[in-house]
Amino acid sequence: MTRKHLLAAAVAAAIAGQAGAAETVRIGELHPITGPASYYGLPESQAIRLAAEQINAAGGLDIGGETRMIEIVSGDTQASPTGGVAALRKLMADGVQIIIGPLSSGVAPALTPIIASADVVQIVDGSIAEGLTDGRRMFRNQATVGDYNLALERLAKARGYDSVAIMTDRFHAGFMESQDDLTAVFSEQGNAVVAEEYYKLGDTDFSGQLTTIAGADPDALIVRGYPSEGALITRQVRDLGYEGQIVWEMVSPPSTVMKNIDAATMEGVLNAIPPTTEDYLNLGNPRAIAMAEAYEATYGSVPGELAALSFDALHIVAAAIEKAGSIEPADIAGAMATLTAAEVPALINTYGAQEDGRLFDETGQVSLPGAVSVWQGEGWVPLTDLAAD
Amino acid sequence: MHGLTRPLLVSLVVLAAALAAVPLLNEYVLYVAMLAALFAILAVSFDVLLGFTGYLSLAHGALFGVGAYCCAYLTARAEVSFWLALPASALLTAVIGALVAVLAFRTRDLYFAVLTLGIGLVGHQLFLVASGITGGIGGFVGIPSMPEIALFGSPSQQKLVVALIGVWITYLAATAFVRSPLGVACQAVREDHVLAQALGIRIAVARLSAFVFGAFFAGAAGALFATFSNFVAPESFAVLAAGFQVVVLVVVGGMGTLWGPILGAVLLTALPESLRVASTYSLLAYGALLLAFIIFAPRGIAGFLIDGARRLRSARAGREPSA
Repeated sequence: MTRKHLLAAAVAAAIAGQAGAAETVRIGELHPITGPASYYGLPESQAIRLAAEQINAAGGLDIGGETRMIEIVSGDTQASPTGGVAALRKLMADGVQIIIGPLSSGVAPALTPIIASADVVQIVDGSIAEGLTDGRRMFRNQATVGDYNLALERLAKARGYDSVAIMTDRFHAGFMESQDDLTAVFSEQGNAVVAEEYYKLGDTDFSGQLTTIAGADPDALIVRGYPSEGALITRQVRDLGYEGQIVWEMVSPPSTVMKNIDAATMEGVLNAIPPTTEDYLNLGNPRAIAMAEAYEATYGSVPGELAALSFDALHIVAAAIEKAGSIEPADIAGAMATLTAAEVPALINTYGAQEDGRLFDETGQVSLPGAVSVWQGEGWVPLTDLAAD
Repeated sequence: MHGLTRPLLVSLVVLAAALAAVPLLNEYVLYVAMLAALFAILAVSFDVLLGFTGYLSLAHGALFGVGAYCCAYLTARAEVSFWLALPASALLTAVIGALVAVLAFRTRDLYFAVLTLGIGLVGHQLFLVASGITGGIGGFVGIPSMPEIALFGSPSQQKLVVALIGVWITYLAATAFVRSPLGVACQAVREDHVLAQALGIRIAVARLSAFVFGAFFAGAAGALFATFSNFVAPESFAVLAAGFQVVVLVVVGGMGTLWGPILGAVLLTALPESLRVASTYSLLAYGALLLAFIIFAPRGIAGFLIDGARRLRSARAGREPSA
């Protein structure tokens, strides 16, 4: 083959590549693929890719009679506002107008002003911080921190705790912003808040805060944050002789929990959050089981706790594109605002429908009520009777 | 103060070249370049203190934050024009810098570094707990954008143009400062604190001026960061974030050169972006880079370039036929 032939082949390949690229719908996903929050972010990213591969394998998207494949473009937020903005700018510079993410509540508010002023549609599948949606261009299929707290409040009321202590990750934007509201509800319900202590991601010694809490001997200790620290706090407070109920409020993959605590010490710990992937698997949700099997076959690991949300987010975007018959962000957003759960048959999560049957409310937020799980053996099991010990 | 013509002309040429490249950049590169320019302002202002006066302050990141929150508050809550808020934020940061300096300069060397580390930590905690002003951990949301400057293209291009002009002003101001009697006094303090005092140099005034100079431009960089991002959060101003980063920029770029830190800022902002997959190890990489430069190239990138230019000149001189 002469140099001329090689050049011709390269040009032909480039032209074919361009033609192929024109047939795809580019969807950007923004998650912390690297860094300390990657144990949440990477499974979310992979779940989106899995959903896209499955849709493509089933024939792709039908957009007004034209078939197009989905192409996922990843952006790594590194769980930092500056990193998140840079990743979003990179996606936008690459021509991406449909964004799924981010995960971190510290990143999401940094992206909001950019997305609000750009020709982009976004669906948040991770952050629980309040006020990220507008129902016009910005939607969320994850619960808000208020939804998280509802389960906790119902649990405290059902069990009639006379006193509670709260340990919160000071750097968790969503939890910190909702702390005052949570304590106000507890006080109204008669659950006296006897101690409020704080820590930060990465801490390993909590003896100062826990000595104060153990001294107050509350009926329940509520731990809000991330599972690595949650497990250490649980272990250390038990070592200090605390025998009350420990309640977590955090997405906590058992694999992460078990790194810092033994199963026996975890036994009976409660977790009050909206159902996670593992909960749906434990409940025998067939779509969750199918997703988990495909995920394990593809990536060789179990899907993360938030993977079901990301998987759903891609299916919601796909359904909105097909409903709109367009890939214009305004058209997709318009279709998304009127989407019903029935129009997205692949959904894993059980979203509460709006009064008129729509998936999202006027502000672009789904209803995803919290639930309580209990640690039994080596994982979380849904708790059906909140009042039962 | 003399010999400013050459730095002025050279920096003007570099600025013109940078401005000419602005229309060629996409949104993402514009953002990364804008970040690099803001860090360059921070690094040049810090070089006056570290490179020319010999004091390692770890409070510079917190001062950067003071400027950012001040501008955020003035523009978003008090509805002050950005063009007024920018100098006001820089001035307020300079005043706070003066207070910090009065306290910190009671110590020297390692104690100075540790004391400013404490001030940096306190500053970061204040950004977290003063949520009524700063927005706390959730950050300060809704900071207005800089008013549009029609001549400079898109909003992202305008931001980069303003940031580049900011670097240029900071560089010229720093050059003028280090060549002034105060700057020469700072260098005397750096070389031999006791001898400078014995020679009657007013070291207290000199080092206070260097600190306030650095604080003023750190505040200006913070104000630009706030208005360009429309959002600021405490984690950007932590000691291990901006506080440590600015030290690395100056050491890697080349202490005591003023232009070296600009190279450091550009390199160390662009490199992590081009190697985003390695972000898990970014702090490790920063630490390793700092160690490598301190041990093997204490004069930073600037030192390499200066040595290279010198060798090139020597080689050329050697090739020229003798008269």
